[in-house]
Amino acid sequence: MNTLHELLDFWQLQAGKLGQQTVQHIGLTAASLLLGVAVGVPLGLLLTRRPRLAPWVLGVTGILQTIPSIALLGFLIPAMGIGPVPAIFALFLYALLPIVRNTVTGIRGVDAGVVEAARGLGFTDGQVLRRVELPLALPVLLAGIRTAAVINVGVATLAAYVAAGGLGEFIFGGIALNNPAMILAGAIPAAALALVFDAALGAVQRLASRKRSSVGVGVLLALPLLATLYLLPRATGRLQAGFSPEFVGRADGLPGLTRTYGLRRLPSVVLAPALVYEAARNANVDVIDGYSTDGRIKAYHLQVLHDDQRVFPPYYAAPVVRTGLLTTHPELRPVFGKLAGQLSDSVMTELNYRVDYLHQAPQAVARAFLRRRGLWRAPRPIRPDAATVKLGSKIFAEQYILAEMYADLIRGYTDLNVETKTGLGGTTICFEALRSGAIDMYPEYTGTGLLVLLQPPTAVIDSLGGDAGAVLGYVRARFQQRFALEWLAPLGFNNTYALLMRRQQARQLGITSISDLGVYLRQ
Amino acid sequence: MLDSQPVIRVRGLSKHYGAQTVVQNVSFELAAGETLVLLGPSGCGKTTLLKTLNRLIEPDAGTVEVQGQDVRHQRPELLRRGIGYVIQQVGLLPHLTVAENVAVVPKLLGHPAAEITARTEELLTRLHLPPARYAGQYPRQLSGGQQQRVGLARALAANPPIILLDEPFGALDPITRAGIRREFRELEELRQKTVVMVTHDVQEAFELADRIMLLNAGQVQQLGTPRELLFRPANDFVRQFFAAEQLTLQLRTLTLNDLLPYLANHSPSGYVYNSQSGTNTIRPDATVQQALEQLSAQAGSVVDAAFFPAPPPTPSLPEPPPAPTVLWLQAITSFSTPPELPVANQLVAPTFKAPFPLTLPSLMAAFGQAIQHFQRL
Repeated sequence: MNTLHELLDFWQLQAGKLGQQTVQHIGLTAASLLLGVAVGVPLGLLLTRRPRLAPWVLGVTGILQTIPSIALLGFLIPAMGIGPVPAIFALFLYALLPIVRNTVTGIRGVDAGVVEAARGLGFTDGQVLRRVELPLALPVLLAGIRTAAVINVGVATLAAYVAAGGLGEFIFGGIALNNPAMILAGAIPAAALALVFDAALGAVQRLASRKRSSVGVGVLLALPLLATLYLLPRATGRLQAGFSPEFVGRADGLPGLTRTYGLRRLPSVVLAPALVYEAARNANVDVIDGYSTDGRIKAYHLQVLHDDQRVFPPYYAAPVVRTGLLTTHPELRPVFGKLAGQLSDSVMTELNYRVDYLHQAPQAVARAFLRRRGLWRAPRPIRPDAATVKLGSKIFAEQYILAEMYADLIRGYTDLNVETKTGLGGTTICFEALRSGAIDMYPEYTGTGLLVLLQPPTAVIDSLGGDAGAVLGYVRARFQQRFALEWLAPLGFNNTYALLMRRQQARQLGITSISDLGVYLRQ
Repeated sequence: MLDSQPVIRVRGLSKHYGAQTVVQNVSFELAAGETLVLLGPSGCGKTTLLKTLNRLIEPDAGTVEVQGQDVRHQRPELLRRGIGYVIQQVGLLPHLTVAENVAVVPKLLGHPAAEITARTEELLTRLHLPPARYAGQYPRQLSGGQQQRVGLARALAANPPIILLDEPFGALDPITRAGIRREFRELEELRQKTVVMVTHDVQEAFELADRIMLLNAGQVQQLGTPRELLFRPANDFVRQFFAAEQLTLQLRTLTLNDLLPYLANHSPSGYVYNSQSGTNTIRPDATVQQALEQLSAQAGSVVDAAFFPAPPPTPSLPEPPPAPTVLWLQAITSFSTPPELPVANQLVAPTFKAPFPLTLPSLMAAFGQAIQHFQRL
């Protein structure tokens, strides 16, 4: 009931956006269907004339169908960039199989006697095709177009991931924010559209054969008209932004940013998180969201805009350790402390870049860093009865590197045994592993500890504000008290949300901070 | 000049599919108005041969001339529009009405609409498909026999001089088949056409053919009139091909004319030609089969009785009174032997100045003697 209210409220609030997305969705579907018919039907006809090609072509279209849609979009980005072109092309590829296959099946299903008689009576090959085969194959052919239409209405939701718009914007925003009302706000119109397309084509299919030909032609003519819906003018501005769905919806993401910095006239598209950096690099968009220590910032020559008003909450990394371990092995405390303040944002970004883009082993990167800083020591012999320190990490490069650094330090400075358990699925898994003693330590971020693990009342969060020290103090006290876990000194870098631009463009426009961006946009 | 030219001339025609020879060195000529039946077992190449005539199949060797023109020098679709074509599966266009189906070729040829309508109605009427009822129906609403009649009307619609038929009655049940075959035979329009028909049904071939080409494994076994194939088989294949149905074929092939020399020997006595007998006459060019049918029709079960023992009469029904089982052969003043099979010289064919009475015994006796005579030749 609650969700229903939220849904209706959401629609009311976002009526304009809903209309725009629906129109885009229809346009995407119609354009791809049109391409599918324009290519698929002649291709199918060719296959009926050259049956030897049929298994190959149908095989290829079948394989295309099995490629997960998000992966297919990913393949297309390098060649086609982002926006409607790769989206329509991907949808077109998905439409091919049903259209080609049904064309072949339909034409092959025409009674051989009818075709032979028509030829014997003096129909030319073209006349046999136009007056006999196509009209008789039309119901099957239309069924193929109908299948393709329904598939495409569904797959077109993914177009949102490549900034092509459509109802997927709501759906993926809703998924990222775990907001069922928002998911439904996109999913219900998408489902309704699928039903409408299906019913309309189904009605054409059921028409008497006589009318069917003319109405079928009418449908084909209507597709380009629907496709042009997509070309309706969209909002434009001096800069174009592309944001991941989660960033758009989170209170500490775009809404907070817009409020604090007054970022007006920044038209934005929603993109798959994996594609945001690519889009900025290829200049499909100018401003993106990201994480401040991501290796791609360096790889793609991007620049982090300084969050001078401190909208993004602090996510300082620090080792979280079981208090019990520090009591039994007090010699570990200074070892864990060796990295405190050693890693700035740019240093961490550099290390991530080496692992993510230069494909160096995390262990090698970690060791090289320790040597540079003079922290590295050769491993000491392990005491025969020594305990084993188990280090955990989440499943991304930064955490792997940190875990390897700590492992090397423990080997070099103590005679304890070390074991790394890297690649644990996510925050909750790491945290539970730590509480249960499956691991003894993993690097965590203050913002995550606060918002994900402690989840204090909003008033508390507000009172802490964006103050890094205050957040660390709160988290440290609560973890000790509730979980007997200790936050040691932070490593120095703040892996938080960041607004990014291409470095060259930022320099040209003289933008170094988010305030500068707001000023530039308001000019 | 035109009359002397064959309508269809085929010379040295061969067709192979891979290593298999389907048609081997076939030649024949067909005069205007002639009906040629291509007969033979399944896979003998008869359909392939037929389809080379309208270029649905291109031969590997040999030539086909239609109206004196090599078909290879004509656009296939234009050639086909001038040749009627009927196939076993009928192949009516299921999305067009009966009338539209019939009008297909005239439309392709660009005939005026009014003319097409008139012609369609005329043909449907003649083929016992009243246009008022059937013109607007779709093929699926018709029975198999009706569909085949529409197929025939469609082939005739543009009034082509040549008609090709590929087992046109093959898909019909025996009763429908006999009926539509009779209609077909009696269709005036078809008599003037040059017809090539494929069948594997011997009875059908004998009933409709002027000449029969018997094929086996792509080779012509014999080309000639039904009478020639029956009484002068060229080889053992031909003989054996007709052996099973010999009696039926003989009854259908021999005419009363053929029996004349022997009928005189078996003249039944005691029959007087009177005014009533006028309704009960038969022409001398009728077949023995037709004479038998006519006799049996008027005598009720007489023919049955001659071949099968009569069932014991049931006590409740009195036996019917004996009917007069006599037919009057129409008077003929001149008699000519069939040109291709001269009757032996020593037999002088009598001429009848007055109607001559035929009874079942006299007819069968004369038939027996005639068969003996023909087989001895």
